[in-house]
Amino acid sequence: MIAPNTIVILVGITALGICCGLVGALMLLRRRALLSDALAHATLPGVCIAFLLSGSRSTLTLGFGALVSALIGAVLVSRLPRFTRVRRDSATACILGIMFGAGIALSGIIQRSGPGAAAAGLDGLLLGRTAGMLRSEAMVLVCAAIVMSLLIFVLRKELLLSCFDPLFGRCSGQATGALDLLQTSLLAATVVLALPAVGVVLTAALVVIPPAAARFWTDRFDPLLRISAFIGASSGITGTIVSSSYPDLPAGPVIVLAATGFFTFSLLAAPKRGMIARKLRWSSRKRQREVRRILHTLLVACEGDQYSLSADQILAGSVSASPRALNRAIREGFVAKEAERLQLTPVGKKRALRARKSQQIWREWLTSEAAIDRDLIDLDEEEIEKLLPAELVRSLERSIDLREAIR
Amino acid sequence: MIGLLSPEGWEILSVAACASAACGILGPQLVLRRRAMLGDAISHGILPGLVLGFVISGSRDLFPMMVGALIAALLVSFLAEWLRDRAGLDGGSALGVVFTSLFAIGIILVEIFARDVDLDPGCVLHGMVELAPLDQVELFGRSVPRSLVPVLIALILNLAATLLLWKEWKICAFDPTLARSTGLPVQTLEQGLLALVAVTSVACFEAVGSVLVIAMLAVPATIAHVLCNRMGSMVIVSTLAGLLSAVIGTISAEQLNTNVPGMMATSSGFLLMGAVLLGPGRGVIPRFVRRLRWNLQVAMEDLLAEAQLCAENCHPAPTSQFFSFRGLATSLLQIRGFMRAGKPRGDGRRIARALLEKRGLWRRFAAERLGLAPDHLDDPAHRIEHHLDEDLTRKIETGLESEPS
Repeated sequence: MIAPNTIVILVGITALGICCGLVGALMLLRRRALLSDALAHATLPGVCIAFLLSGSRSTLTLGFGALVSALIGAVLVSRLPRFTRVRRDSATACILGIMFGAGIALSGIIQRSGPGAAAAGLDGLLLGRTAGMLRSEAMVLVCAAIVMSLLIFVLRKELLLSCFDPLFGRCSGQATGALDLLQTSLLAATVVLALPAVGVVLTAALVVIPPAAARFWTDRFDPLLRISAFIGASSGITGTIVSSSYPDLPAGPVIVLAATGFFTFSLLAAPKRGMIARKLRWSSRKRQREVRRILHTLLVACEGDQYSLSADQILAGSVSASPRALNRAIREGFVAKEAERLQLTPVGKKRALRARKSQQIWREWLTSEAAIDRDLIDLDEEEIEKLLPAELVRSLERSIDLREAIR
Repeated sequence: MIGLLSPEGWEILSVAACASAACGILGPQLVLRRRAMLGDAISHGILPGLVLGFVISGSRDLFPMMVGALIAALLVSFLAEWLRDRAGLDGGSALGVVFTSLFAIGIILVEIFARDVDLDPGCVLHGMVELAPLDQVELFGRSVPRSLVPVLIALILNLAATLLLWKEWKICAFDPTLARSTGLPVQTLEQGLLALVAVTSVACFEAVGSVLVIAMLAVPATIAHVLCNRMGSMVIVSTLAGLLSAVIGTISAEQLNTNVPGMMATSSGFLLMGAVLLGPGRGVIPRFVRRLRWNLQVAMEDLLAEAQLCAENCHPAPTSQFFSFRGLATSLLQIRGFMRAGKPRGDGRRIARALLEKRGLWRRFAAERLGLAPDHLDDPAHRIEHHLDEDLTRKIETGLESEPS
């Protein structure tokens, strides 16, 4: 059974996850992931000032204060590197530290001057309280998610350009400054919306982690946004469900850990960029190289009037070749096995000759073009013909032939 | 001065000053390596280490917490670097993923062990420097706040490391490739720096909270980066800026009755603002003033030359509106006595003649040597005349007299 309150929270958190995922993907592509952390910390003085001025604790007033102060922080972070020699990362760290410190100082003033537990509401901002989400807050989050998705859908082309080639965007008459401001405002709004739910530090987590996870699955803009929003939403749902079954656990950190779980899964299992896929690709390349070395050893033996070799002789003759590679060569039909003696099949011989040819071309290129000492070269590269321009390969082949003829 | 602070205030100040000096010494290393966010990442990421060290040892002893935090800090940097180099993630993203995840784990640990632990996450952020005078220990025969001891140790460690590894860190910061090619153990040195950042974070966290670590590792070093051109002066200025913000912060916190770390971070912010606005040479205001003065000088020279031309050709003198840049330049010229009734006088006449001479010279040079068309000569000559000093003028003159090559 799911309580109605849980449904409200689930809807709100899903919408929040979508917002964070979308904005975070834009920030990831612009290499400003940590700006979200700075902005989340920079909301604090605004919240305190709004409270001091209005004396009310309504979400709207405090949220407005937070938004204004996050925007001021964002403007400072982007202006400091332009007018001084301060670098972007220092500017981010400084604004984060200063504004957060100012917020802590202001909340200290509130705490000691006010008679009530006024600061309790403010303290909630530091760590957030997902379980206390109201129906109205959930509605606001849903509206924000819809508006944000529509905005990104409409401005897709402009955003794409501003992420990958802002200079071209400016040359073709795009209002880069306005776009920049729009994206920063989206980030600030997202951060402010996320604050009451998950708190200052973990807001940054929700903006940073889902796009970082999504990045493993795709190399394209639209899928990145979609996957990132999906991961944001699903980590919100997972975290809420888990924390509702363990009432001791605060929901914010659990949501973040769910996102970290998605990240770890993507890091390991993503098809092209994932670690397992990389490892497999790397070891298959290594195996291929070993097979090539074995074929080469056999070819040399063949030319030296030795029709076949034993497995031990092959492994001794070829550098860093493993018995597994030998088995693979046999399985692929390059090498035939007869009574513990191994010999090249016609296919294997062809393959070995081709490998030798590429090697010669490679060596020729290294000595003639890259001016490397012939004796230093011991590379058995893959098919070099594909790496170098065809014309160059032909001229290199001619010079090899010439040298053979002279000899 | 002594009256500004209560006796407790002085003890708070001593802790705060040592903490910010310890951070201020180390900060420039991070800023120069473009890793200023590392302070933030480490001071958040050490939370699980602190909690585990605390839970495993079962005491508020600093040493196990320090060890736990050190391990967590090294984990942060190691994981972030691994994600960046091996998994192809953007550096900022990698750091963000790691430290926020660790912080989340830390909060969950705090909640799980909350019954056994009196670790309040809020306290992690603000620290409790105000309570420092309540808890005293003996050190060299004097009663000092207990939290002064770890901070002092961190300060001494950082100072010693900075002095001992000065040259090595300098090479690593400015030219890591050179460092690696000369056989320096770059990896170990950088790890050592991280370990120091972690030790400092833990020591200061216990005394003054992580807000202060974040601000004091980044802000004083950035102030120094704005003001200085050498690593030596940068470290000194950064340490002084840290100390200064500790003093201002403690005093203003006592006056405003609020917490010290927050006010220290705020006052360091004002110092940064001061450095950015007023910094000699590169500050925003000095740069503005310089540009304004130059523009005024150009306007005055132009006015003089114009008036001189009119006077020579017996034209009526040019007029200018009073409330304008040219009007300001005119009145300045009249005050200095270079011009009266629209005609250059005395030194004014000399300046105007020299300027007109330079204009003619550049026109000749551009026409003869650069081969510019006649209608392209006026505008550049009009602009370049202000930049030609005696030396350059003489060079152009002699160049024009000699045979063209």
